[in-house]
Amino acid sequence: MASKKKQSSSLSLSFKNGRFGILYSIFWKKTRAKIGTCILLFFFVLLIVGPFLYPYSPYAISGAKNQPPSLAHVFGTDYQGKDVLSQVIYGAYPSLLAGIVSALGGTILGLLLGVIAGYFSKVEGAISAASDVVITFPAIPLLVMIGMLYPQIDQLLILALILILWPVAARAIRSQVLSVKNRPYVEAAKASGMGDWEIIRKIIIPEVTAIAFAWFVLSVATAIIILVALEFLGVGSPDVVSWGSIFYWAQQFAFYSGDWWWVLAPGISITLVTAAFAMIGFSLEEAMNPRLIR
Amino acid sequence: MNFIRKRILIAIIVFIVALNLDFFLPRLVPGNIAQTYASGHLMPTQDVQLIEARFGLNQPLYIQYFDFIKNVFSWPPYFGVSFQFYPQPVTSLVLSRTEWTLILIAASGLIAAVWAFAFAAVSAMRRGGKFEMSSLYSSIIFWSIPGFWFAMLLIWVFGVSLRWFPIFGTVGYNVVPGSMSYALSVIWHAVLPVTTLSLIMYGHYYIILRGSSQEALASDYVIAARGRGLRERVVSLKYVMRNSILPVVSLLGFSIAQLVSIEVVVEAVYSYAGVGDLIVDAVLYRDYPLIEGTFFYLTMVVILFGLFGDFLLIKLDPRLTR
Amino acid sequence: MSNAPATESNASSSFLQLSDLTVEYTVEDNVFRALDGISLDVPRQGYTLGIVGESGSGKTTLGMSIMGMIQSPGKVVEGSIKFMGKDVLEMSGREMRNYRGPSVSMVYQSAMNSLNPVMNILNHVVEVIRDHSKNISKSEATERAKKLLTDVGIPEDRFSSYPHEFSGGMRQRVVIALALALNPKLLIADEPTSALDVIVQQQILGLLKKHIVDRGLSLFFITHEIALTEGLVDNVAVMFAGEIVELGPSSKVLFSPFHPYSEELLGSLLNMESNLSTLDRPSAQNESLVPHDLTRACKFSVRCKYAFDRCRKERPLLRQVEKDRWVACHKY
Repeated sequence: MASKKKQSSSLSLSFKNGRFGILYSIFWKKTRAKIGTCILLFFFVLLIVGPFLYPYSPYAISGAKNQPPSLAHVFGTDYQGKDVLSQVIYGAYPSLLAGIVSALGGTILGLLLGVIAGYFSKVEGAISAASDVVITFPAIPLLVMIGMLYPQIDQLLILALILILWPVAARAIRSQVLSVKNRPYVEAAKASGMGDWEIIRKIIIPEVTAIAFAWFVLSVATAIIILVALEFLGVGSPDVVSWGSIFYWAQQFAFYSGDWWWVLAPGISITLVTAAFAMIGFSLEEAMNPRLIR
Repeated sequence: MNFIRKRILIAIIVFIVALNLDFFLPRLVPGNIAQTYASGHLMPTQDVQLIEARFGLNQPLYIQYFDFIKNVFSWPPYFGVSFQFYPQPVTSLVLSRTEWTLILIAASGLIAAVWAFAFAAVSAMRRGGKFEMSSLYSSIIFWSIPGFWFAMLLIWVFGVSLRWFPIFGTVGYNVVPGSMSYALSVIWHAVLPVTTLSLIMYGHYYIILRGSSQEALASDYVIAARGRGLRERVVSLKYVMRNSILPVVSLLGFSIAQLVSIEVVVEAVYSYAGVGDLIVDAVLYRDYPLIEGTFFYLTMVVILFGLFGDFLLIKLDPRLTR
Repeated sequence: MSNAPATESNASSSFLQLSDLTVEYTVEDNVFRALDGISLDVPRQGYTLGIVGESGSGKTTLGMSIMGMIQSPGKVVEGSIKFMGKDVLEMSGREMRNYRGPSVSMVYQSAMNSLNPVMNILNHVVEVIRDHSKNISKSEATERAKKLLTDVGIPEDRFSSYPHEFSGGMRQRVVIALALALNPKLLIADEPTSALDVIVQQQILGLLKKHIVDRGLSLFFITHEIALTEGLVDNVAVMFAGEIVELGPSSKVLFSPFHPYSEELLGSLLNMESNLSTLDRPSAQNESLVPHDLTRACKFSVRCKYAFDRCRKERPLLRQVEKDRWVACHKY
């Protein structure tokens, strides 16, 4: 009956299905979520299909220099005659991939530390202090320093980014763990002799997966912002086509002489994709807040 | 008291970590910095040896560490000599530019905070309206926009096409320091960078404020306040916003860290002669001492702002001290 | 509408008049009817009423409706609330501000958290006083505030303390002071003591009683503990599943209840062995037994030990069975 359904949604917060069920429906009602997902889908298709359909390579000179957008080159060409749209498409891979990997690593680390901090009160102070220390460092100067000292190892930057990103997710996860820790079924589990790690594995982690995912999405957005800025500054190898490297070359060469197309389209793409992740991430995070329905 | 002690402790830890990063990071490179620098610049071996001696790079590690710490705690703090601007010490280079960076950071941070606060307050009063929706979407866009691209756009539109504002530098060429026209020129040159930064930071601040004001709006004391018949404006300001700013202030250090990150990039695009601008060329020239010094300095700026935020928080939240 | 029970004959402008009030909550296509056709006529100020029922019976919703504070996802779908002739549901923003506070005020269930953490308690009271009247000077308002706080038992040296520095009982006193600050005519107290220990509970109840008597105001005391109403309020209304099932003077209802549910409430008081208080059974359990769209049966029939055929087919209306007693039951 209709009233039974309502009853189940409020009482079964303890059951994974129930929680994802409400979450899902609240999330989808938000316009932001829909817009974000649409944008992402669009880009997803573009990036997967693009290399196959689109004839130009980002490394090859395929047209005259400094051409404005035309039918042949949808985003125009750069100072050497390379097609800009293909740079956007191919350039997405390094930037996005690095962003997703760092965000994944950062969220997993944050999940681990957040759960431990929330569950074991003895180490909470230390982990909180560590997270406060980490967030005080300005990300880009730090990463510039690292990238400059060890340019051979690209992965180092990703590692450093992981170490920078974990506190944000950890904070949210910790507060979630704190609220779950005191629920009756956890106490019941303890009373029945379940070990701490077992409880963490079987009860706590499933509860925080949802919020961890929300912060993962947000971390991707943050990571992209940072990575693209680093690429722009020339850290790592600017010869590899990535989203930021487009601007690295653009700023040095033809921008001021009026080749607006070189810069406009890539910039819009980056903004849209980042915004899409942000919209989805914030919608998820809001949906998970145990506030009463607005 | 407990709270202040904790925050000062964190500040000290950051200081120590930054120092050690500065020291150890470059020294983990196989070969020493001088050789790496030299290999990028094709230097003859004697020059390399000169540099090594000059920088004490051929001494055992613990002596280098000792010297390093000793130099940092002397006055003025000594962070080595820049490779690019040899023999100018890093510290003086950084300090000569610090006012520009601080202008940008302080101005943008303040403008963005006030703006975000105002919009959040109005949004709290007119929930679900167009205002709330448009400020929310605009904040997400500004949060997402790459700082350097946004700077380029502004330069292109307002600097090059419309010629309203200068497109690089901190101040005009022929102005006399200390005069009125100097001050005006400074402001004029700062308009575009500050606009870029404050719009992006508005995005950051608004998102946090919105989160906390949503929570505040649903809380019991707000409902109770309405139940007492208090005016909506009073409820929005004294109950909702007054409590919403607390998380923002407590995260001041973090948001300034983000601001500094973006500010560095913006300085690069505008060729604004601040501390961040140093970093960009330093990357090209592999000027390690300069990068280290700049990084350390910027971290200190963040720490100080963070501590400022903590003291502010104590004033604002009575629960922390009693 | 004219079936509304009253202890005296219906005056043309009663103090408070609820007619067929129906409130629904809609969450993702599920509709929950919190109040189902509530009618009540309070003839004059000074009338005190205890509203008793278990969780989910609608008693809090009733209190909130009178305050005009039903918000999305809740909605008043039918009926009216008239306070001294004025329709509460039709009030403008400004009228509402003059209504809440000076006419009616409420002490909430979660009064602990009703206070702004960044304001000290004296300022809370001063603010309420000054916000409602532009003509009161700050010093005058402060004087009144101080007197009020003293009246509720807050020592003077704690006036500039912040909410988090007070115990639950003290905070409750502050909240009561706030509710009384504008001399309301009706005070609605929703479970004001449920979070307090027994001794403090008695103190707070005593405080309430004293002020009601001193100021001659009406009190609606909402609770799930029927025992608390004795000696505190003159009349009792028993609520079940969004309806008033019994209404009458507390002396009579408490000692010889008519409705089977009232019996159950009172019976469990005497039953020392029952740990699971039937008073506070979570609403969900009741919901699943009470399909809300079944308007053609007595909602209590599923639990009722007297239930007979008619109970399952026809919904009983609240009817006057004695001079000052109403019941909604087919037994009568």
